[in-house]
Amino acid sequence: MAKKTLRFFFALFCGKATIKILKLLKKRATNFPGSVVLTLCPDFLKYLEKPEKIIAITGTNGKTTVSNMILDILTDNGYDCTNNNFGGNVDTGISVALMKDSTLSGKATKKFCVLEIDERSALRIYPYIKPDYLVCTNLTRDSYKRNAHVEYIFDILDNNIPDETHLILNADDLISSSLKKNNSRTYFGMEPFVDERLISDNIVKDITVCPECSSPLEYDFLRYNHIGRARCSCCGFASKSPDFDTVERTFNPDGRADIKIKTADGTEDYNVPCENIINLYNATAAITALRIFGLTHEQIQKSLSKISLVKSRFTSHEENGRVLRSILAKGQNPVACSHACNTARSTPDSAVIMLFDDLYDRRQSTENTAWIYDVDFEFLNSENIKQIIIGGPRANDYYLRLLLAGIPAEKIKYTYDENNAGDLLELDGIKNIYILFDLYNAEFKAITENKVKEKMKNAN
Amino acid sequence: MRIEILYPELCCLFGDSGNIRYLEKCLPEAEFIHTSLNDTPAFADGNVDMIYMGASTERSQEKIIARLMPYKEQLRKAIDDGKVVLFTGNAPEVLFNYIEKDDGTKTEALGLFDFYAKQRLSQRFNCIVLAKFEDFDIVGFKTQFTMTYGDNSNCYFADVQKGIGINKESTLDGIRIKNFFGTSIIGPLLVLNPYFTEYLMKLLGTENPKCAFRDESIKAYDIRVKEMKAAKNDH
Repeated sequence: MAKKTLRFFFALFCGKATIKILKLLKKRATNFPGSVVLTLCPDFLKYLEKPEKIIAITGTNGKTTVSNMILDILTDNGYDCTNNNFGGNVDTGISVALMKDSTLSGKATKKFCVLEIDERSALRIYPYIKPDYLVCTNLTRDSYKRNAHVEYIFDILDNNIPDETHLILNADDLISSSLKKNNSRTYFGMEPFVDERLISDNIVKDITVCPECSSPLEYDFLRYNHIGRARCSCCGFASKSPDFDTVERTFNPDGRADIKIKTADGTEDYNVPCENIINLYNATAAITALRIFGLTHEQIQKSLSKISLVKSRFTSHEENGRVLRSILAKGQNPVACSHACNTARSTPDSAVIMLFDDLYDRRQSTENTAWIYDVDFEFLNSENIKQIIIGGPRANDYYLRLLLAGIPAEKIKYTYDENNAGDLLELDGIKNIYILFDLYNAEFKAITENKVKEKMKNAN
Repeated sequence: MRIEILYPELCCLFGDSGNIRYLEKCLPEAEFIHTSLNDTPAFADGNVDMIYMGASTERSQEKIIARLMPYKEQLRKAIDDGKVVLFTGNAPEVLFNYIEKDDGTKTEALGLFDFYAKQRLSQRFNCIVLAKFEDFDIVGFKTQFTMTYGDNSNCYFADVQKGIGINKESTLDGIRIKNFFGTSIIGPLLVLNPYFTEYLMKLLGTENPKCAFRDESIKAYDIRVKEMKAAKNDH
């Protein structure tokens, strides 16, 4: 550990004081105290002492879910962990998390730590924080403006993840499974399930040719986007074999699932708080990380059966024979939005309300909408979907996009004001309603939900 | 009519496939040839009416340069013969003299145009684009690691009013030589620009061209032009 400087102590004092003041003002200390310390002492993280064991989680999609699962299970087993599940996954938020659990002299007060780490922040974090274990959920296309493309993010991670970190990688992702080839590693994956509907027709496939020889890839199975198992048609390049392989899943009526994970030592059964493919991958990743960390099958099994997923990402409400489901679909992230569209087409007699507009871009300028041409809106061109309502100033762009997806114009309605989207819904012949909303549109989502619930209550 | 899409499996980073799907709707009679990295380009035998290529990653760009190098004279001839060629995002850079990387090393490119690109992976640049092409506006977005250098004052694609041209000091975007259109505007350029799409359709021999979903496209375009004119910044 580097010798602490006066500047560091001053920054730490100011940072802690800022956290206290925010607490008194009943404000959340997510990133601001971190900005304070990093402004005063840019290499603050270098001097701050770290907990003894650090599990970190990164990746394009699922890192928050996996972090929460790991933290909940560790906590349930008596591990008191420093964590950033309050929401700050960049250098400022991580500084706050570590600072909250440190003394005024910069000593860590907790032995264990679970950190969600933004992929792009790797450059500013890994020089100072060396995770013992790092889970990478997957690497897929994300916001063009922030993340450019997958190869760019891969290189950032590959160049900055410490050599000594043990990696927990997704064997079914040909991109992230190739990270840091010389690091020790454990792979997780999932076999195709008996009744599973695999998606092979996504627009976005971030790896299509062999990275070694550029020949086409041949897939044993393709689950969604580029996630699946493949081999090169020419050279020996192929997906890795999972060390922790989910081989079976059975749905339960309560929205949970029973899964079987095959390991080198046998098969382990778990009851997990999710049923969709993305979250089953997340659960498999979390279980793998915790088994490698040292928890027993029984410890994880017992804790998992008690936990549920955070409700802000998926909620459902049933009334008078109809179901309303609200699904967070991270805007400007084509893969996440495509998943939401895929879910919406899975039930009959459905209506979809889309609230995807970026709240921030429109304040000063106009949103870059190129990404909507990478979203599989074609999935909404389904017999199951009877009505689509678009809310937001970009309604014309989405309308045109849906027409290009082959969706009949008579199924689509739109309004430039998100607040009115719920008013356009007609419940005749509709049994399932989906609200697909961007992360920053939670307020519009709540208004729309209330209007839809009111209609459901008053309908026959 | 034969339209060749070069390397769609790689050149599809920023909604570029929207251009292809839209063109297919606009020109339902046309034959679309999707050329993969290990295929011989269809333009090599001269028998295509249009060539399109979209944005790729930096590593893919190098592979593409290597694959196209043996066919550079055929590509030059296609451009000289007035074939419609549309390269978007970082695709035009493939035709420059070279691409200079962060460390100063240079990747030799096809050398068809006397320009070069500076690639700076630590400097992501994003902006909206509102520009004049002939007598109408072009709208779009840029998201890139590169800036282009060279004199395009007599061969630019569009005169920029919001956003940047080939680099931050320039207000002239892209390159236009005969029916070659090279622009760093990304993604669904054609869907966003119904008048430009019809301009290309006319060049391809369509009489009274009408782009697909014309009314809806023009409505979305008009709103975007208005918003871009009113935008407080160009990010």
